[in-house]
Amino acid sequence: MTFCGVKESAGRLKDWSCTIPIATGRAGRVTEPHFTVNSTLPH
Amino acid sequence: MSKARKEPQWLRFGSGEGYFDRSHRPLQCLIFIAPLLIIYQIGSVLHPWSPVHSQSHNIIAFELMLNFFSLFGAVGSYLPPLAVAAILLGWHVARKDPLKFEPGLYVAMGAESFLWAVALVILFVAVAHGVAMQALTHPVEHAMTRLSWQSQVVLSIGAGIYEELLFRLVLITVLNIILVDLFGLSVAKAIPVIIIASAVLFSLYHFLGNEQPTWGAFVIRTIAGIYFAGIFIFRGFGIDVATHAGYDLMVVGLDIMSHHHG
Repeated sequence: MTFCGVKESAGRLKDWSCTIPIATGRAGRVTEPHFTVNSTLPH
Repeated sequence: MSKARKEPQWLRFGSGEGYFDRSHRPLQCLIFIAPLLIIYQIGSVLHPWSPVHSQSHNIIAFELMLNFFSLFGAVGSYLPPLAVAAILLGWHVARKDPLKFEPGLYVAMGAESFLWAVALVILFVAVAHGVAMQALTHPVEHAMTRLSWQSQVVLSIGAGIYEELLFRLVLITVLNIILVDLFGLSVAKAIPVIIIASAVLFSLYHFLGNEQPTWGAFVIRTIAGIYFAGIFIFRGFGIDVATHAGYDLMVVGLDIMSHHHG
């Protein structure tokens, strides 16, 4: 018996895009730059 | 009344200069497991061996980390490995360990991990003969053995990294803070509680997937959780990760060989 907690996912982790919220320091304002690094990886 | 701060036992390891101390150091652990982090990331993202539209299988602990980051609005499949690196580097800085690259140390850590993994395989082979584990574990095995051997190798490595990160490095540290720092339990009394609690949660975690819960699987994984927790505390995170991954890889290898011969 292996000790691998494995789950089936609907899609693959093929998308290397990244979204990281960056607080601007002003109350109530948050910017969310979206970097799509690569969407043409072989899949 | 203020008490003297009780440092957990495993944080005192690594202060000497011998092999057993140096192998505990977070930076050495990070360098040692870096190839595993890279292999899992490339394997789980690219799936170069899988059919184009097949479903992917991921380590639940890895997905839990992705979900955790998404709570804060951060998404990206490389965030979990970055978190591993950030935790170990932060720990390295906090401990003020020397900045060294020690190839001989990594070879020795690999050899030690191999021995711990072999010991675990032998332990479970003995248990399997004793309690007819085959009948209990067959439904469990099918979830993994349906996959290509490459996927099984990648998942074994990912389980080593991310399950040990969540259930040993993070959970044991959190339980230590709660029991020792908040409730004032002595380290000697807290360690057995921490080890058993983390092992039970580790065992239950495996049922978050598509697997049917059985008592046999629960007991076996709790024993494995105790084993890994002991290795984490007394031998460090790097050897713990490699032992878990090494054990899973051996089981996958044995399974493939038995199908070839059977």
